[in-house]
Amino acid sequence: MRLAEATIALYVFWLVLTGSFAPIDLLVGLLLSAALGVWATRTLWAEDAPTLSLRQAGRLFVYVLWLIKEIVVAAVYVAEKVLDPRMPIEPLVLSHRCSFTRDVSRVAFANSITLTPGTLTVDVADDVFTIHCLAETFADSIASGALERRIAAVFEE
Amino acid sequence: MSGFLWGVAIFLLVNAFLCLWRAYAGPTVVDRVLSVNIVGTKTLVVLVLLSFVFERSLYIDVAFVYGLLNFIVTLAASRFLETGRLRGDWS
Amino acid sequence: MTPADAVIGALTVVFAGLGAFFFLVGTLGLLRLPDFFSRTHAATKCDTVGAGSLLLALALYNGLDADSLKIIAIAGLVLLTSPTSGHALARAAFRTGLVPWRKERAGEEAS
Repeated sequence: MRLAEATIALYVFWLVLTGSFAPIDLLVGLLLSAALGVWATRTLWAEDAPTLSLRQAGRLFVYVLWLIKEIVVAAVYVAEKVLDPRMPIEPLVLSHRCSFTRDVSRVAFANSITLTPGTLTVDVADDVFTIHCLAETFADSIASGALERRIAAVFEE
Repeated sequence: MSGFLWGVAIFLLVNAFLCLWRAYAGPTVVDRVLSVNIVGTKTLVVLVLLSFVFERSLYIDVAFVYGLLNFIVTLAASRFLETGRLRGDWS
Repeated sequence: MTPADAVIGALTVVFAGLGAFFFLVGTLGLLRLPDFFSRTHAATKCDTVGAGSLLLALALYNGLDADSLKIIAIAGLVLLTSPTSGHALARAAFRTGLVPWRKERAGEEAS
């Protein structure tokens, strides 16, 4: 089942890259995606495949839209700080512990922290995330665990 | 529209050269790698812009591979900085 | 030139301009900010938004075909890889002992 999912995803990617529907292209693409799919499911995803159910995929779509909005907010925030001649930043580093069961949620959490305003993931060791913040208010928003719950709603359960 | 795209491409190239100053000045090695990574992202966008200026859609594929290579180069460099080698365990 | 073309042209210029602006901010941040970690903030966020906005503008300009899908895929690639490479570098810096810069405050000893 995982193999079928991986092959279909890779095949769609192939179709986008070639943009051609000639029989030979379709056939070569199918063979290559199947071969890569076998390799990926045997080695990369041997322990925990980053697959999602249909409901989770729907939530992921909503989540990505929210994340894009947050990235724009983050960039505007950094722009304000950089363009201000006094550069009013007070960086600090904090540790945050959270309990995810899947690798894919850890990756999503780390990358989301980096892309949301004022925070940057520095280190991940087991469940402890070391986070660099540009100001103290962002440290509070991480500690409140709102982002963590959003990620858990998409990838866990 | 082609003139506008040229303008944006040249603007990004000027930016890329400014970023190279950070690669020259440092002060740490990670600063240099970071600035090279940013120059790579800018180059990727310039390649996509030029694919419209010259009307060659091949440049888009080149940009794609450039993005992938840029990512792998940064990962390899940071891993080398952290562990001192490229193969084997992380610890 | 139909009205629809004019709207698409205007949107292209607006998004491309925004993208160029955020690239400029990323560059300035890289040059101005005090230490590596805060520079990474500027690099990851501003570059992601700059590249995403410019690529979106070009996809709009191109219209709906295979090339546009490819450009959107490149934007997704940047969205995924830019924070990851920033994180990899920050982790290398942190584990090799680079101490983050702190603002010196009154009543607090500089470290």
